[in-house]
Amino acid sequence: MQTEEFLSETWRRQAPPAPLIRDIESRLARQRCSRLLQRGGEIALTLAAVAVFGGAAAARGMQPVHWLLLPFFLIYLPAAWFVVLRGWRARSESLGENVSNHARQRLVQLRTGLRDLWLARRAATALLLYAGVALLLTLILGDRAWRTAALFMIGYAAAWWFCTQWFVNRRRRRKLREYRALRRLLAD
Amino acid sequence: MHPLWPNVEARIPQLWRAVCGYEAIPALQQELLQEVLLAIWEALPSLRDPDRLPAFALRVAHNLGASHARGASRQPRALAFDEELHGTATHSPTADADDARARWLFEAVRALPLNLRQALMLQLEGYEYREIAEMLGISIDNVGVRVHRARARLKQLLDKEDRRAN
Repeated sequence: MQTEEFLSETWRRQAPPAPLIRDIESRLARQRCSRLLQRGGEIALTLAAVAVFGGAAAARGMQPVHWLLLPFFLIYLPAAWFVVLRGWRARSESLGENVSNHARQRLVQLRTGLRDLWLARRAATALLLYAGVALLLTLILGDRAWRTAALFMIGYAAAWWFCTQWFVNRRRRRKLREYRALRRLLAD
Repeated sequence: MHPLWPNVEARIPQLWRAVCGYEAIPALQQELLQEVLLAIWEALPSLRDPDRLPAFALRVAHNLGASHARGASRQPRALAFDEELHGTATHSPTADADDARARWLFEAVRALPLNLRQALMLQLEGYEYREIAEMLGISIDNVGVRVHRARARLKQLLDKEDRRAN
């Protein structure tokens, strides 16, 4: 029984450090604020893209660069928002469930998340290929304005491809680690 | 502020201990606790029965902790063994001895597999097997088996410490 008492007493005696308790509300407020800023940033970027293309189309001032980038944004933006909105809802819904139910639901979310990362990688590669084909065609058929726009787009696509690879690799490692931990939890 | 938030704040020590069972690094412990509290804050409006708040808060902590953990960590570091740390009931520990004991216990808990760790942490908080079974979504018998195995492993580690010191 000494071991039992030692374990229980030692465990329950532990409390968080006092500065953490004092600061907890301000930390939570900062975290909520940064989440709101992140959401605001995502919305602002989307509205900016819509404003750029919508404004150019409305003013009949579509330049070659607008035409070249338009297919990408028409596909990418709705897909990205679909993934982001799904992520917002999914995790918080199951956190209050019992551990086994949450783990099962979380595994489904993680599989979906890993598939989304695979799609993001493929989309970045597709954009790079599209930019390459556009550059080739403008070199053969286009004038200076179109060639400049195509060069701009391939630079943008290459940067996007590298950033996506970095982002996907980081996220994938984290998701896989969590996936394996939860699989072991349910298997035992 | 949600009317139940003061009740959540009263549970912070319990949530803190749960978080420490999943993470060793103090800065990451604080981050994980913040994540837990934020998740509870966001979920509070959907909590129908306020009496279930303590169990609800712990479920959130353990769900986030399980996602955060990397599985069982390495064996707990050996302490410079002190007879008084693991001595008889008449011993009155100093603050340093208490800290060392607590650090050892948390490291030992983090060394357990996730399924044993969760059952043990809830049992150490004073929950009954029936309540632990509900929180983990397993049978009462399974809770008993996991707690027994977890305590047996901790006892083995404690005995190893005693032998190392002697």
